[in-house]
Amino acid sequence: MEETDVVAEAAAPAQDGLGALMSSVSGWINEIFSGPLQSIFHPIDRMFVGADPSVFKFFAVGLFVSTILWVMFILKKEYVNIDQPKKGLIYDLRLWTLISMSPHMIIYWIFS
Amino acid sequence: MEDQLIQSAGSGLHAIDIAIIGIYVVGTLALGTYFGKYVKSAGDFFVAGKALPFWAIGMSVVVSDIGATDFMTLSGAGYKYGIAAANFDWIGSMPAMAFAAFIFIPYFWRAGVFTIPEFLGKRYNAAVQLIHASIWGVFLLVMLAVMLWLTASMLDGVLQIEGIGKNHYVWGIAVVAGIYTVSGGLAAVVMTDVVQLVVMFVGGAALSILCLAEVGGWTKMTETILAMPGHENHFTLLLPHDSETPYPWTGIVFGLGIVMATGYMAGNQAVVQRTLGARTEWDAKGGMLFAGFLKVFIPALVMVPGLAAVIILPDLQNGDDAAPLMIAKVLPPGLKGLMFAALFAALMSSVDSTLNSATTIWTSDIYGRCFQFINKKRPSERSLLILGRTCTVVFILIGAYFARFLAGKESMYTFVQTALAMFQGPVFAILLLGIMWKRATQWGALAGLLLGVCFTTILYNSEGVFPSQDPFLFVAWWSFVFSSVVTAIVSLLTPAEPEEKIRGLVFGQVMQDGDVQRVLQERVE
Repeated sequence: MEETDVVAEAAAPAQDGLGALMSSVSGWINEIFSGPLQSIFHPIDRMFVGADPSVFKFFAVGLFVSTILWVMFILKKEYVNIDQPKKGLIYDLRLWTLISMSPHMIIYWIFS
Repeated sequence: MEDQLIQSAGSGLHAIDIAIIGIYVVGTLALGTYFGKYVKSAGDFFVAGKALPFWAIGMSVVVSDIGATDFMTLSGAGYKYGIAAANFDWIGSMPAMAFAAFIFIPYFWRAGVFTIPEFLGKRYNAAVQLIHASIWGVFLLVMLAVMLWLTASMLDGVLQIEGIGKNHYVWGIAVVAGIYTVSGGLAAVVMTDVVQLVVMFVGGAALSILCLAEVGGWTKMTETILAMPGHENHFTLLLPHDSETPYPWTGIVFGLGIVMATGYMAGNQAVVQRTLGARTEWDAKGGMLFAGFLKVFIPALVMVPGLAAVIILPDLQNGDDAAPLMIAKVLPPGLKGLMFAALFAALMSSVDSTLNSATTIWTSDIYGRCFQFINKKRPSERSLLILGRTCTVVFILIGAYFARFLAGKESMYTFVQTALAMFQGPVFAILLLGIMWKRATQWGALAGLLLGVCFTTILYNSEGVFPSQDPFLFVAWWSFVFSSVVTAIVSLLTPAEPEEKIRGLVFGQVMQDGDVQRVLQERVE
């Protein structure tokens, strides 16, 4: 996925009715809720601040490793390869999973 | 400013460059139209007659994901924040694509549904289906108009033909994309995507290689950038939790890697529709894995120009200017035309995918649901095919007509995009619970969806709650958690759904129950 798929571009200054409405609603919500929400989320934030970079790497690489292990050893071979056009290692989607995830995993191992 | 940059990038285009762009446009039109002869039914039109091979699905998923502005914005993010911006193509794709391949796609395949709202409607109720379908339907239409305008702006800036303005280009693109999408449906969209991916990879690789050559290679580039003040983290993927950038590691791993990416790969109509067009379940799964493999290369193609610009153009006010300026600086005649064909390919693939997905949602979920409600029966195959083609024509005309108005109404685009982003966490929560937990009820889902969107709206607009200046990743994670909890609590407080209603709609049943499999097979046939 790309960042622009999920993130709204920074809003233009309120030049029209809709923009002005969005700004005023946003200000109203901020005034009422930001205080209570800060008291809930700031303690959670403090748990993660100062974590060692090795922790980042453990979680990120762990996500890839656990996904590979799940596909290769927990899912049934017959389920993974249902409708396989031919028998053989090259048509085994468990191998495909390993090959397609390894470059991602190596990148996180090197650049974390 | 953007137009001026594109003009500067396009200045000095030679006849060979314009010829390459022309050949690309004509070739795309011819290839797409060719597939029209295979379209005989609604199934052929919407899911390509279930004949797509894994390689076409994989390539199409990747190229559809590269949006209209991604070439500029990813390069710009690389310029500003470094390789952390590439997380969206790496951890934001691969674990999620494996989950989609082995949980969601086989499930949709076996449950016999064609859109995500259709599943939500069958599993929960019509309100959930219509809310989801309407927000996606409106979003896709607005995006279509925006993409048409962006593509026209690029062409106008590059070609600069006297007497032809942006509006002419809008209608020209609408005609080209409209003809092959109306004619060939999903098959035409996917097969033109395959060509567009090749063009994008060749053009992007040429630009990246020349940019690297300009700065003395990868090693020299990294050493130089890391030695510059304020760029110490430019080659670090995971940044500390209290980083002020939009990419803290907690948000990247939990918000992006687990929630947003999986929700996107399993809940995005454009992605799901391609896999449902696969010739076998193996091709559907293999297509997702192949797409995940190709995604490794995307940052190398579109981010390297931004990184090289850190050295060559260190004083840019706006990072998004990096890619157009590097195109103007390093590409020779011929390759410049290829690069613009690549940019055009990215834009066209977004236009045709959006058009096809919008048509499917409006035809299947909104019209189909209303027809069924009024007439107590499903619309016929023939009427769906006619309506699908009619909708494609009407939507491209609406998009082309409103494109110029949206160009001056940025707040409308922002509003719709924000609204969609607010739905992602809650929708993924009810989708996941609906598939995995038979006790999830329609009232639980409705409460989870509506309260989840309210909670997301509050989080988005409350300042100082999270350390990041742009905390959308945290918002995604917490809105998913909140919606899951609400759905679970309300479900447990309301009566369970009858066995008959959820027969064939819960993962365990669909995968393991032979009787359910037979019923579903009959339903599909």
